Amino acid sequence: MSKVKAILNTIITLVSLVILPVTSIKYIKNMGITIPYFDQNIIIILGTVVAIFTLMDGLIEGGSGAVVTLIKYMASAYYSYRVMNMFTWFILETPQAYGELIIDWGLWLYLVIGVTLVTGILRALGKLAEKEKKEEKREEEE
Amino acid sequence: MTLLSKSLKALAIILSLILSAGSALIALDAQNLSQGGINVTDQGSTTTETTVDLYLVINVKNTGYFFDIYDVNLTIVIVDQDGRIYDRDMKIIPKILVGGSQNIRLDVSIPIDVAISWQNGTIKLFAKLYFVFWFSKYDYKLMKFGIAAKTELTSGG
Repeated sequence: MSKVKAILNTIITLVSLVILPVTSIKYIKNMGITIPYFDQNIIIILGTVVAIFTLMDGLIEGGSGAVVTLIKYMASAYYSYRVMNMFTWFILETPQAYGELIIDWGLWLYLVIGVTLVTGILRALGKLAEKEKKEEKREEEE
Repeated sequence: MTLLSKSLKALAIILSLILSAGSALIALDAQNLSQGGINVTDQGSTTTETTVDLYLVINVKNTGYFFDIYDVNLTIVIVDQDGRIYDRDMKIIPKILVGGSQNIRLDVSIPIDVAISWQNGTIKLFAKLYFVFWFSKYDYKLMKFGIAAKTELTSGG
């Protein structure tokens, strides 16, 4: 059951972090909007790394599982940092109109990274607590 | 699953939900502002012996549901096709609360000889309009948006 859940989570991560951003940018480009800082390779590499850690997170339990969970959230925070900094400048250029949209993520970027890291720490601690409880049960049974 | 493990998991989910809700609110407020928040309410021109004076009145309304907008900066720059700047004007409004609105008047002048060349079609004139603001709440500036648009000025307008 946990294997199926891990694979499902990995697929969801891969779709939301790699496939959706890459395909949506192609759609946006067709509308005449360019994103100068967009780097498809970084999205594919970092998104795949996060997806691999998601799979490992679902499969590995106990102390090493907690470490993997923490690494996964750290990778996810780095992904957010890189991707958000890509989406800071949009240019609309058509024969009829010219426009630019500039975004400074400001405090929101730090909030996203901070909350992702805190979530990772909480999830890792949760996994550790689960492991300790299981060990206590085993000792009681013995 | 232990109680501690469950509580930590729940806390992690709550944090993620708060972040998602915040993102959705910012997106919603940005969409509302772009759809009906910025309107040109008046524009016109007067000619003197040495200049053609243009003015533009823009109404900025915070049509969002949650975020106030801070440090609203509206700038207009008059340039020709080679990027030569003839005049600019900038106005800053410190704060527009949710539901509030403000009229901003921008004034620019073009030298009369440039205006004549523009009327003759020798040069093209463009108005570049910059609109920069911060989405904020409780005096915390969360995210800055800057929008720039360039439109060609047609003679007589």
